[in-house]
Amino acid sequence: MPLHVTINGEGRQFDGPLSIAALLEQLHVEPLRVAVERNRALVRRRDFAATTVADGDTLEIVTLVGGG
Amino acid sequence: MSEDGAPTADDVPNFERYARQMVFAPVGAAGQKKLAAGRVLIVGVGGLGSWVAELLARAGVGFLRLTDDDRVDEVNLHRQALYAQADADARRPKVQAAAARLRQLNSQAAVEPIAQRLDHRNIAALADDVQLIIDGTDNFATRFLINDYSVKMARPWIFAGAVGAEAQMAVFVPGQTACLRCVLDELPPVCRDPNCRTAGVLSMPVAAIAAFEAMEAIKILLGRLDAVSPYLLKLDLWSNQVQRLNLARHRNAQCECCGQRQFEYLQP
Repeated sequence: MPLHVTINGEGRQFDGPLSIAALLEQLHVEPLRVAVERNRALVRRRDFAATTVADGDTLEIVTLVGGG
Repeated sequence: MSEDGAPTADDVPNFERYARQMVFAPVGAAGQKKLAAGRVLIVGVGGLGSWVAELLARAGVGFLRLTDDDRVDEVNLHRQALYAQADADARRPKVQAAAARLRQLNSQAAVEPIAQRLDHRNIAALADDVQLIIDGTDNFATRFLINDYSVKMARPWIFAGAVGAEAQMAVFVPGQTACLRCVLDELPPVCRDPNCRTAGVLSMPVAAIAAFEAMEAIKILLGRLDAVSPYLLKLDLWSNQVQRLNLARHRNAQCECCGQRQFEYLQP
């Protein structure tokens, strides 16, 4: 089932079903220091595996950086 | 003057040098007095902290306490505002070199250099008498410590980080925004942290995000919490991309820190 989602303002397509955790893996995003907003709600890391991406979702994904 | 030499709101320092800044309506003479009475802790005076310190000292913030246990190194000079070649040659402690430079820039600013790393033992002594904590650190363990203290004591802090050509910042205001642990529920392990040494860092994103940090600091010192940015802001100066994530709407009652008020990082 194709999923059309918007990630950081850009339209993307994935094969579903897909969890946030699996999506991050496909995007090669390190899940340990990332802020994920799904449809304007923050998803905490402990919920990445249990949260399913739905067709039409809007996601903002920001990796927090350490240095200075 | 207060005991530590910082101006108080009752002092009448020479405000002539701030003339152009006071013309900006939200500052004004009344705001400039608030800045003169302002007290800030800057944790880490590397890339981010040194730029923020310079901007706040020039802006007339009355008291700056700097903490850092590092010494100036030649590889710091491309991005760390306050240091000169001679500081690196002499391997001067960063807080000493920074304080000397800040006093040159503005003798009205009281600068207190503390050559210590912030930890759970000294944070209360170093942060108790300031209005605001600014993150110039290079690690999340210290940020989780600052976040715990901030929520416990209802004191705002400003997070920032930079890597490569990218930088980001967020203001955490207890009771108004989410806290850092609403965003990151677990401490990211150090070994996978893309810090400056492994990924490199340019000076431009550091200076850019430090300006945003300093602006937010000024708003807080002016008492203008209504004007404070609610966003986790990310700038990529290479691709010219800006990303914002609104933290005001993400307060989480399940958050161990601000929701349940468990402050594990303040413990030994």
